[in-house]
Amino acid sequence: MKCDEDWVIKAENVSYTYDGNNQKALNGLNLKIRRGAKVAFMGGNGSGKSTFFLCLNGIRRPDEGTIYIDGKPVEYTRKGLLDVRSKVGIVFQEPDDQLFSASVYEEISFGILNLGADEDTARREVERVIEELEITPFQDRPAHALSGGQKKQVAIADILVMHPEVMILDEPAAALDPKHTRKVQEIVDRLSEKGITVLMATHDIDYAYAWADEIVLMHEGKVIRQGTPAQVCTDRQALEEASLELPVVVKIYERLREKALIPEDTPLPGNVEELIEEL
Amino acid sequence: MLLIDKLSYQSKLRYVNASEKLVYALLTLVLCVLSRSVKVAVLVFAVNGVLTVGKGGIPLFRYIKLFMIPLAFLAAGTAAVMINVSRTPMDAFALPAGEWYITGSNEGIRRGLRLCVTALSAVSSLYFLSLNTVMTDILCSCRKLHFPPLLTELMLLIYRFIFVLFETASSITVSQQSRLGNRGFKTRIRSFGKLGSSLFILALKRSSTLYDAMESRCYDGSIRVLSREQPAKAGEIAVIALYGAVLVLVWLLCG
Amino acid sequence: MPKKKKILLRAYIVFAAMFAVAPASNAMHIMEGYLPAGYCVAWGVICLPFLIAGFISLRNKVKENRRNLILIAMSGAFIFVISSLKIPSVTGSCSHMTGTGLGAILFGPASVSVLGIIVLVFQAVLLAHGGLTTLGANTFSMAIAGPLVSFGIYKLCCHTKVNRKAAIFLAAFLGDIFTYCVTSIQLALAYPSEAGGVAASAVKFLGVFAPTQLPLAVIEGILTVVIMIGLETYAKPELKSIGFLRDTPGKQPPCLHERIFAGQRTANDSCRELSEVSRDRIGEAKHPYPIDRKEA
Repeated sequence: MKCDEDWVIKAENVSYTYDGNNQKALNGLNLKIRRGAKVAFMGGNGSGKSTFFLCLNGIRRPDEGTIYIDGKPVEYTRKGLLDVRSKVGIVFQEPDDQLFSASVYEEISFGILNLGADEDTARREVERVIEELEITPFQDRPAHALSGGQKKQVAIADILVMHPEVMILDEPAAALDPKHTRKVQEIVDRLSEKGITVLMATHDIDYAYAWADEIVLMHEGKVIRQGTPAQVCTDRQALEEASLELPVVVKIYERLREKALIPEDTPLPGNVEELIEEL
Repeated sequence: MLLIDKLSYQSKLRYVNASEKLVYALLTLVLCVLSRSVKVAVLVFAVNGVLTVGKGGIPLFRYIKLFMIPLAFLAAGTAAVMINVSRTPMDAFALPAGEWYITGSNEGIRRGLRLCVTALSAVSSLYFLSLNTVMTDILCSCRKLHFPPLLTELMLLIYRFIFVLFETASSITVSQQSRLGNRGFKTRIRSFGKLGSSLFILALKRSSTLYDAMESRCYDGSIRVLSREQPAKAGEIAVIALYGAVLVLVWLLCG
Repeated sequence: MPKKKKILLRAYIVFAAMFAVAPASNAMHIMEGYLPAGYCVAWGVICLPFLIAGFISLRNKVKENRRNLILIAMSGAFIFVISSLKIPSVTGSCSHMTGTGLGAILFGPASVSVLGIIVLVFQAVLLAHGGLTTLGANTFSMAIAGPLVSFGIYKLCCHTKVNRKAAIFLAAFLGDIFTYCVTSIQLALAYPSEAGGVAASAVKFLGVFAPTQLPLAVIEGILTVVIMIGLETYAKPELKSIGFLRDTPGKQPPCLHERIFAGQRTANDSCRELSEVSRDRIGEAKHPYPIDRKEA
């Protein structure tokens, strides 16, 4: 079928159990992600999203199964891990778990220096990213004086400066106010425009429905449904298993069709604007 | 929370090359302590005051308040130096107490006062450094001075982690106080104890995630970072050297 | 004695007494500029062998497992924060723990010597407690002498199976008292009394700081017990799950600090492999920066 499809990430039968736990965090997980896709990962807490992300960059090594990045299986050697981590970057959920330097400039320069860049290239890249992510107004402030949203921007900059092919964001809008949430969403859109594959763990089904090319539903360490937002968000059983609600747009659409307020053959709207148009 | 840290980010002298400021502060500090000369001390104190409050823009009342911090130790320590208990009274004062005298000599009082003045002026040099230089810049200077990398890496991390832990401690304290955790002495002891142990556990957990985050960014065992630093200016270095020479002259000539 | 002088003197004594007993009764950092230059250098030199030993010990721990660097840094930050927080006091004044007794029990005296000097530098710069010239003297009393005593007493009690709480209390309390005595002697050596020399001076300094330091040592002892018991009761599962504790069946479990670093060896698979594989220096085979990999 799609044998020559460009899979930037492939997971085959991946299982992982944390030390001292009885239950598997990942339980025979299978997944394929296309290059350049925008993928939303959804599922309850403990469904294995964060664990899977950590497997994608080699921080956790699966007990069983294989992870392929760019068609090659992950090699757990120093060179292999360096290679994977230069391609796959994770922005952790809590910026305070990621920022280790009080100076924003120093913090951002860490990743790119680790990739072996010389000082001039590194400075250029750091300054480019600072401008791109609008960090300039607060680049001289210490990390502990930044707001949650500003810290998040720095955390994203940390990874972006390394030019990853895949950017993973673990619940980027958690604890952010609407203004900073919008800012993060804008940043994410710009990433996709550059061709970076974006994986995002989120609990916001409405955002995922409008933004994602594909939604992956996880439950108890397995992928229970993967597909386009239209496919996934009309699969009530899967959504229930993942403890998720229908997106508002879908709910309204279905109700309107039920009440014959819109014709039967109206296509499923992709987001709120399209729904409004159809009305 | 840490006032001096906050002020250092607001200082107008912040962007002067950190190594210059470090050398200046250490030079005046050492000269104050070596010379124990009142004239040198007064000069250093005055110049530091002008630099910190005048050029650095640190609010005067805050600057003065900061000198209250060492005052307790200074008063107690100097009292101990100046006051003696002896069978024979000395020339400055002598309060009889049974067979003994609580007494002090003029020389002793002179020494004590000289100690006070020089110590306070040394403190002003320390304040010049800490109020006008951001910690990350001081650490950058340490790296340039070829301190062992393990030491500078530890200091860089510790500086950041201090604030992370303060935030956590603050949330825990608020939560405890909201539940009357500071009701009586015994409760306060227990609350503080719980704060301490929770803080440590959370610190451990966090250090695990921080390490994963650093590894994710290809951490290879050595923390390499770039700093943005203003280069040292020859003119400023010359002024510092000249000033040092002046202080030495004052010390040697005026005593 | 002229009346004016008498009044001035009485005023001064009251003033000094107020400051000695009342607010800002912090741990005994010798303030900046207080010691003569010779003594500053001498105490610095005396500290060196201990600091070097501590540094080597830390470097080995980090070599063993890179993860330990972050753990050690967190521990240092923890000591700083614990020593900055206001503790409950009987007089209602502002008091702080030294934190070094707790540090010695948790991490061992080698680590505490290096962490202690770093914490002292931060305290001098960020809190104006202590100083840079007096760093040597303060390090010796607070980061070396006190913790050695604390650790020694704790280890002794561990081996002789003394009641746990009593062991921790004695370790912290006596460590603090020893620090206070060492500091008083340091001051006495630098400023011997005109009448009675070093000995009399030591007595004076001991006396002047006793009203604040003795109650502080007791409270620090109590707090250290509460914190340690808290850690040992709740922390075991936590510490185990993040790989910081390792059970040694059949053996008397070593003290907490040994377990913390030992546990790191079982922490994480990929981490272990990495540390085995990456003992070579970054110098060789530097990964080329992939800026040409993709044009934006």
